[in-house]
Amino acid sequence: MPSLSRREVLAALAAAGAAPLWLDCRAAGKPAAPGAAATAGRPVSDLHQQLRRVVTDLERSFAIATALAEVGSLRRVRIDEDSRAVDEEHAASLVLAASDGASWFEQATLDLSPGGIEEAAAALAARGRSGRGGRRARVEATAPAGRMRLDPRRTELARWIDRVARLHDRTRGLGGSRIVYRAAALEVEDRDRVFVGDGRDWTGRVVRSMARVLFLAWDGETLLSEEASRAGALGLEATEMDRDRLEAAVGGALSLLTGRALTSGEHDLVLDPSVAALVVRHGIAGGLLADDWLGGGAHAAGLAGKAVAPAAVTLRDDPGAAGAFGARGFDDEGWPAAPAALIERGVLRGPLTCRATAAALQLPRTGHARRADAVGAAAPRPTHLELAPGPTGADELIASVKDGFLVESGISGRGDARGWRFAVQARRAREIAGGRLTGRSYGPVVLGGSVAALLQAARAVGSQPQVVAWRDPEPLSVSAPHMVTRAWLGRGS
Amino acid sequence: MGIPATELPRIMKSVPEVDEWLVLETRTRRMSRTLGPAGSREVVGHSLVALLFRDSETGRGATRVDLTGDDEAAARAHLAAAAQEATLAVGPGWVLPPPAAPARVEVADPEVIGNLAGVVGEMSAQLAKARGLKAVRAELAAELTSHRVASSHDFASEYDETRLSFDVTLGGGSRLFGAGRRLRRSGLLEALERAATDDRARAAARPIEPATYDLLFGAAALAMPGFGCFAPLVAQASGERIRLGLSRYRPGQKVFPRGGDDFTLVSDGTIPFGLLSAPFGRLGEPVRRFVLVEDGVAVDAALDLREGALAGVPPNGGVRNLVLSAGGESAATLSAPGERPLLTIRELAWLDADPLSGDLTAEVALATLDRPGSSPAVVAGGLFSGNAFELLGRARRSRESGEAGWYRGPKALRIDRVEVVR
Repeated sequence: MPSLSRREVLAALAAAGAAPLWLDCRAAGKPAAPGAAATAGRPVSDLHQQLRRVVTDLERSFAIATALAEVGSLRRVRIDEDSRAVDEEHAASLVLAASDGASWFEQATLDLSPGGIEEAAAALAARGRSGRGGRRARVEATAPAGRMRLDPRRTELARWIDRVARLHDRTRGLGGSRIVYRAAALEVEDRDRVFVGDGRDWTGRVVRSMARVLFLAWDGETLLSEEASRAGALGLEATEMDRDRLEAAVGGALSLLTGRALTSGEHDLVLDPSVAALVVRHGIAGGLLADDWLGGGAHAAGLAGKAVAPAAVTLRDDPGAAGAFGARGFDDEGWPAAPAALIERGVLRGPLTCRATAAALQLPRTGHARRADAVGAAAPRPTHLELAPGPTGADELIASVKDGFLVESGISGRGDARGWRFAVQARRAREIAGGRLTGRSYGPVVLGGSVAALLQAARAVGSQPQVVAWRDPEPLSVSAPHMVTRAWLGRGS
Repeated sequence: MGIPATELPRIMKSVPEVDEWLVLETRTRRMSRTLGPAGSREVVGHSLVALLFRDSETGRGATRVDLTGDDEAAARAHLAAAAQEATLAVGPGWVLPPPAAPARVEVADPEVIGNLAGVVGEMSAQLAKARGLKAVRAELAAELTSHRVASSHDFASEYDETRLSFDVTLGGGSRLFGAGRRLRRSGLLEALERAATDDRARAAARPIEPATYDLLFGAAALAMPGFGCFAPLVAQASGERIRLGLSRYRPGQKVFPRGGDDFTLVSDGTIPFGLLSAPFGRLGEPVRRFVLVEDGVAVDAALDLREGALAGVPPNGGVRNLVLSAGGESAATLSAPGERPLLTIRELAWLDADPLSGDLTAEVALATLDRPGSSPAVVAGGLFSGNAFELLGRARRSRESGEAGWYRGPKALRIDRVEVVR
């Protein structure tokens, strides 16, 4: 096989349908200028003291007043065969919110200097009615970052680069000459959060790390990709990816070399954890957000309290899950993290809520308020979804399918709450006949349709969950095992 | 109180070991009102960022420093530290091009500037007056943003832009969302009229039967967020992707596997009050109108300041509003069913196109089904998938024009033989 230049290899990347790390790592709509950035900021303790004073003052004019501040950074290091890049985005935001008992007023600012905060507080106070409020006693709490072995704040930049370089070095030789390209990346989000008001006075630190490795395979005509990743509430140790994970990704990329086009139709399917995670995220949980339930527009709203799946299916969201990428100590309205049951032994319990949607729907507040871009309106969003594992191993699940497909390596998904419908794109589907893999692979593929039908058809879940994490647009992780069900499967293109 | 952006050039000139620099400042004020639940909010944003460039034998190192809220002493310290870190991330060498005049384009409505709260109030009144419509959830917003850029080439420029947006969910499940720059052209009234009709129709909609259909899209259905089905074309035109060899085509090459010989797509960031119009881009490069695809062949790449410099050509500020060439058939001809049933898409629940491969999936939220000899029926809930390059290459476009959001082009676009599943 002729030796390929990097340019020739990358030129075929589009056919593989994979995004190179250095393009994936850019925040949607906000490509970062390349380079390393120096840190900047005001001490959090100083900020905290000022917010306590501000909220106390606001409580003189409003029935309830709160402040949520976040200060932090998102840093990325990317290394491939012959280049390295470092970039960093800083973020500082404050949302002051107050209610007169009938309406809520919010004032948000990205200027966390003492003067910027005073200006925001004055603007909010001007909209208040005096004499209604009074200072409320506050319960203090701290939500420290999860246990980290290598704290990013205590590690100099050169060591970050060294760790990613060593991860990249470990990929050399894996897959032999058919793997023609390898790249490694690390992305770390590190934020301090302060919430004051509504009876609470909380501080917390959130650290989320995601390490990724990309492999490209070449069959002489087509370039195909697969990636391995490790993400969680970790420090720089996220780059310590075990060899099994790397080899699984290499094996996946090589298996794509024999992929072929699929004939569309309804099939019995075994979804691997990455595909099941996308179905959970975009399909199932996508229909269980309370803002879509307002006005009865969401299909799932009419199924609350009813059996929507077999008893083998239990799904919950747990923002306090130890070490989870999407975890955090309190939501963007200061509500404490606690698990919320979405589907319990097949019965649909209810949606994720925030303050306003819980009140409007007269449902319990689950503490899943998330502000888009840190200063947007709060809406309920998942954090760390967990599809409870079952007793059956993956091999047994495959053996339980007479004729169907094992769908692997999820790429992306979308969902619509109104009809409770979804679509997930995956890299390949392996044919199952008589309970065994035939060796024939097809790809890329799309599975989709009605979530309600997929849940009703679910037969079993596997015993070995895996965690998949994303940051588009907000940090979210899903723990999901294999899942056996029936749905429409078709060609990706 | 942070250092004024106008003072930064003086400070930048004294930072050692920096070869070139850019200073970017953004100030935003956004007022919004929500229903379900009721509330109002104001967001004030300010960002002051400096980009430092250091050249060496191995290329150009770059650093981005956030100086928002810094006084002069803090800014000097951060800039000095950043200049040292610039050596850690080195890419290919390039230099800032000579300054060029920004595009002359209006993007700020005088009726909106200084009157954000009043504008939001007026949008709320329009929503309240819409007869027969019950909004269960809504967010109406008005925003004013000021942009300023300065460079080490003694260049400085600034402009204001206004943006009005709405996102409303009605009791019948219809969702209308959109954005514009002018109070009198926000699109809210038109969207409310369409939604009123759709909301009534939705109550009688039946599920789409899985079959092969011909699909007809209007301007509103084409103008989905993120460039909709055109997103892969936009992504492949990225100057960075082309330079790295990541694009499926290069200038001069055919874009579509089949067809598209009369398909011409232009990026035009100079349309007055266009949703994606601007005088200059994110690094201060002037925005220019340029041709992405001409008669099915790729022409120009999207080039910001850096990519233009690396390519050795003037930058164009990236892809902005899209203008698609008209076709040869009338909208009436395209709206007539043929041998297959015709689905006229009234609303897509989503359209998700992978920018690299072009693979897309889309969910039909509401459509009208036409069969020859039958009355039209309203249907909902169907999924289709395909590849954007293959679908657009064989799409039929109307002679008549329409516009919505960032889209200017045929008011009707028809794609035959698409499998829709349930």
